[in-house]
Amino acid sequence: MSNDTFVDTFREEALELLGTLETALLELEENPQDKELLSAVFRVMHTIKGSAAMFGLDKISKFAHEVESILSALREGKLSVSKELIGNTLLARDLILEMLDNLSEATGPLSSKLLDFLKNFKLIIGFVSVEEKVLPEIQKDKKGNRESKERRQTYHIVFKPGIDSFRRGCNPLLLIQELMSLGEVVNIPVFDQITDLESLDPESCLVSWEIYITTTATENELRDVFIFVEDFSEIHIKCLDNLIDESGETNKRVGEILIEQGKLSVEELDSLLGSQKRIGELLVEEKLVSATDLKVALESQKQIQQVQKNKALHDDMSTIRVKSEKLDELMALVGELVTVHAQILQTSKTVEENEKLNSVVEQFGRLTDELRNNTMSIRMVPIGTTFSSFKRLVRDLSSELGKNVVLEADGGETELDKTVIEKLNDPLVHIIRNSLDHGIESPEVRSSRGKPKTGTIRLSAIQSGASVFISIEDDGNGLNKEAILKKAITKGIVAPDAQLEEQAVFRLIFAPGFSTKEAVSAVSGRGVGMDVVNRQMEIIGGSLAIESEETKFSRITLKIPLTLAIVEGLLVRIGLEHFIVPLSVVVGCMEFIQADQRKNSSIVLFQDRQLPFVNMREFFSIPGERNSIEQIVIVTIKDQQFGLLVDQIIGGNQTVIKPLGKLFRNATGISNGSILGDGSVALIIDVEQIIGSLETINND
Amino acid sequence: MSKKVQLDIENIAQTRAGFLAVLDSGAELIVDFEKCVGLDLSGFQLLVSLVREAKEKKKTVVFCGELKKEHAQLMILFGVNERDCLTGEELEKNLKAVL
Repeated sequence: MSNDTFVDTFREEALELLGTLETALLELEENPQDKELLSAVFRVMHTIKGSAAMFGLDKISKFAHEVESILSALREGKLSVSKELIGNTLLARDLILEMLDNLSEATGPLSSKLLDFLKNFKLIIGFVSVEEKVLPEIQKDKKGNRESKERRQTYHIVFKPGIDSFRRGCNPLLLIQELMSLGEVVNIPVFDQITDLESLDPESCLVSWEIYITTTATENELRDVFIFVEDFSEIHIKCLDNLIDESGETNKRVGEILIEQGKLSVEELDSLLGSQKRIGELLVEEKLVSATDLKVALESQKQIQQVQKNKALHDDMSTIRVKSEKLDELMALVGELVTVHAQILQTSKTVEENEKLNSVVEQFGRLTDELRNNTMSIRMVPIGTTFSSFKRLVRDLSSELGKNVVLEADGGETELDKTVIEKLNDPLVHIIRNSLDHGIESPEVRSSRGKPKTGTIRLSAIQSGASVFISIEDDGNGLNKEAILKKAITKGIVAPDAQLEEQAVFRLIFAPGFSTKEAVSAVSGRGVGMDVVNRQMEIIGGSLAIESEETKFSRITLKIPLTLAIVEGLLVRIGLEHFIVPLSVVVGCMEFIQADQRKNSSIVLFQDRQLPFVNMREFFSIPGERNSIEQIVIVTIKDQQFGLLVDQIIGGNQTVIKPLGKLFRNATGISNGSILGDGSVALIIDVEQIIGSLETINND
Repeated sequence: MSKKVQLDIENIAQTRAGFLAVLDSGAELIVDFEKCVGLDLSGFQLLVSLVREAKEKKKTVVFCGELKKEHAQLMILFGVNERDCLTGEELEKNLKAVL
């Protein structure tokens, strides 16, 4: 691996870290007391500093070091989280990003621009006054350096000093102090042996401790702390991480923990279950366990959950970095393999029945399916990362516009193919910018409308079948139908006498060059952004819907296909042509005998319901005579069911999507194409478009 | 008890006897931490016992005064408090909560 490759790797990792940093900073601004977030922010800066130094990028390293010093003071409580601190740390992040974009400039001393920035940053947050005190401490803090390099583990220590500890000249508190120097400690004293005053032997050591320590120290290093007292004391050390690895149990209840610790019997616990009160309170009330035992159990539960959380985080990090192009290549190859499997299957049917061949083809099919699913899952990315990236946009833009806006996100764990996510970024940016500029009102207007001064933009994602629905909602102005229509008429987008449905009026905001805003600002008004949304939706085969109520809200819902590579389809034939209906919209199939139908009726009875159907032969103008027995594929779109009349339903088909090219862009009723096992082309039916075009014809 | 309070291993037996004498007389026992000149684990155990005594035998024991910085830090090591600058009242409350 050449040095350049190492530097590239550093750059990629640093970009990822800066993404994490931005998210963590924005979350920290909302939750300034969250120590975990604060530690995460610190760790990112610390890692960037160390890695940059390793690759000789000393300008980045020095700059990160300065910012790290500020964050260290913050972590030690010498500074507090403020808007200025978060804002400037975000700017520092942007400056590191700039240096990463131009690595040739990332060496040498700090430029005057960086020095001025740091000076101003420190001045604004009052760091100058604490700086002298902080720096020597940072230099001394070897523990911190170690923390970032090694994995921290949580141990449960039971420490019962011998009863004669005082007489032996031992001070157990010094041992606890030593433990505290090794990591984060929660120590719970146990007073069970301390009697009333009259019978108390004050020169005996009667107190013991249940200690939880999260540290990079090893179990042996922890045992070393007790080395001089182990002969006359009781010491038990257990690593919680190992316990979780062994048992795999995570969400233990307090009752279960107390039983495990031998402080409660199953019968005692059972006798209290079913009560409305919390089990812990009940156990103490009934004197089945002491308050200390309960405290220890609760702490144990908390620590186990924390360990599990950290473990999940660590597991997430056990990944390898693969270039996205390689994944695209892999997906393309899998697509070809799926096609080849279809060809083999087809060919195997043409030769004489051969049990062994059939078995091999079937096995090949199963493996291809698994490979396809695995490859697709590798490409699936949670949309949450994209959602998080908009927090900064909302923060900066709302401040620029003098508005108070919060961004709420829901369903961030919903996964989409990475190619789809990449294509979604621009439309979402435009919709959010539009919401900020046109949607959310100024604080004064919001107050006069009885709304909270802070507006909300809510992003949510949910998967349904082979689609993901992403909605962007704001509680602002809503859409003004009259103003939209008036502007569209002025711009010649619609005829002055046009009678448009509400949805059609709303959709005008996506027309090229459309904007109701009189003045062009840096944020919006050129009528370009929303057009991008429309075009991008067309490219990814998605669709959009708008709901709005004036002065109340606007909601734009994007319907996005999970992947752009492969769909499960139902292969059908009309005449000599093959078509594929995406399986995600199929609800059933039925036979159709023309002779049984009333003449020219376009209604069929399916599961006791009358459904309209479309004669696909007529729709696509395919020549030839209709068969006496045909078949209908029942599909559902927007909660409505329809039938598609075809000659024959052939069966399920793994469809590798092949784009049709510009020539077919305006072809109604088809979205893409696919190659069948015999090498012929099958067109993928766009059911929504077919139904939409029929509705238009009926309305006209 | 308004005399100086010695809660360390050298004086603990004597202090315990003093506490018992006050409580047996039926008087109110006030432990003023501003007058505490020594504190170690043995003294801490005595305080726990005192709070237990007061709780179980309905004796009147009052902790008051601000803890000295070094004593407050010791309380963190004992595990009865998560921050320093503790007062006698806070310590009493914390001990009662876990007994």
